[in-house]
Amino acid sequence: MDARRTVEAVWRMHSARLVAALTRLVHDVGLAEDFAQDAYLAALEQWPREGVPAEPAGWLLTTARRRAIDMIRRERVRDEKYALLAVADDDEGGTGTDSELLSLVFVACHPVLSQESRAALTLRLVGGLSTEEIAHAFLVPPATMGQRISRAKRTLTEAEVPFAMPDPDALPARLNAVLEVVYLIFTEGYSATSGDRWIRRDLAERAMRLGRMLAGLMPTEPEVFGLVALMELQASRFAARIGRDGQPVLLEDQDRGRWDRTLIAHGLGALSRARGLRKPLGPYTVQAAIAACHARAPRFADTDWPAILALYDALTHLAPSPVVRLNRVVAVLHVDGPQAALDAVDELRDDPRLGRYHLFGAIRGDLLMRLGRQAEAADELERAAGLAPTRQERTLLMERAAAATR
Amino acid sequence: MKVLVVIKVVGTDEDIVAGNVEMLAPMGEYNDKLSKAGILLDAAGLRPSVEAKQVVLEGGTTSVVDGPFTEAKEIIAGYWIWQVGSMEEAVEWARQCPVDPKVGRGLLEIRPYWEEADLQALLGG
Repeated sequence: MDARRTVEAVWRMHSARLVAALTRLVHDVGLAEDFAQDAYLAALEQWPREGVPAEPAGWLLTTARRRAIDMIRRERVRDEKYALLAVADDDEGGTGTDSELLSLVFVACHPVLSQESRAALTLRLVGGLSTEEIAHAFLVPPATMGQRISRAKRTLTEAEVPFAMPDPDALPARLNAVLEVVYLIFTEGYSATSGDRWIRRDLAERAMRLGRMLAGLMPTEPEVFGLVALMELQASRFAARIGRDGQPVLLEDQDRGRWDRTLIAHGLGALSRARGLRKPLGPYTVQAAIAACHARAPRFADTDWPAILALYDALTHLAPSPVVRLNRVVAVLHVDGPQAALDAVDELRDDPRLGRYHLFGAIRGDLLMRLGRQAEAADELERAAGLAPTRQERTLLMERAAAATR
Repeated sequence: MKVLVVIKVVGTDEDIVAGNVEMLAPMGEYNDKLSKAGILLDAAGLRPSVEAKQVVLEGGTTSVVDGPFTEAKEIIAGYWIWQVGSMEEAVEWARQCPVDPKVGRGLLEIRPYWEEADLQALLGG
């Protein structure tokens, strides 16, 4: 077993709680992370030689604390901080408590940061990913990502963002920002917004783990379970949604035998947990319920479309967006037929937000084809292909355009 | 990556493993830790092999053997399914599993799943 990889694994397991515990001591998330990193480097140096300690998390914390104290002594920072650290050094409570960890998540997703910085910082501080890994995941050069992360940490320090749970009245909005970041990370991995790599599975897995971790920390918030369910039910189709040649496979054509039953079971469990909390359901839970309708259908023909349409109606009220209304069109197609669906899609035609969205043309083209309007369908599909963000989707749409005129 | 962690106990009486109520609390805490780390997908304990059957497939014929399997040195007591970043990570989580010194030698076998990419490679894709 490669010792370096073991140190990395231990770091991934404990870094978030470590940074959380250190932040409570030094009141600065950037500084805390520096100390944690120092301890990580020390582990990289010592563990391969001396073996992994019995209490790796405790070892990292003790080492990081010692370094923090050393630095503070050297720089003679305020006595008060030094006293605090000295006291903290005596107590035996391992690394970060649940509430410290949760505070760290809220700090990393703080509204003073841009959404892309929140995602990067969450992966870095909570996910324990290196700058290089995050840069790789978001397809930017490591130097750019490094600057983005340091700027984010500096912004938090300058804005004097408190290391604490948000006030109860601010919690729903703040939690929503956290869930958005987790889902952003997931979708980045589930279907890349750029480049030719259609799926970056490890990033999606990372987001699912963050989501489950949040669910463990906030067991009374239905939307956290809703998001976990949504991600897992979508991810259950990973293996089935790309063909042998790397092309995307539509839901209708997927081999359901290749759906991941463990993820489906876990996702359905999370969904029923969300519902069981008996609070008003949020958009993630409703989307998860839609995904669950697909997961439960043994064959595409068995899909409960009326239920999906009803859920889309609910979602349109909860989170009105042109993309939601567009997805609703697919349910209309299966409940009321292609003409009703085309009418519904044409109602969205003037929405400028859909003007450059390739799936609008993909769906409209499909409906025209079903209605026998082949020439119009081909035009629509070709236009959609021109807007598709990935090569694979472009190819698929071009093929369908060609099929329409055949 | 997904791994199956098979919990085996070697060289002890199966009844001791099955009736080991003292381990319920530490195992519960361990499971809680796995769950809070976001890696736990599924877990179950298995009833003793006295209630088990083995279907033996050999030379084109099948036969059924009833438990308990006295000749077996290992008892499979349960399993987890984890979603982890690497085998190293799985090993480090497994290291933290609580142990009961009374109950022989525990053995956690960690088996990574075939991933879609592996299967495609096998199929010559």
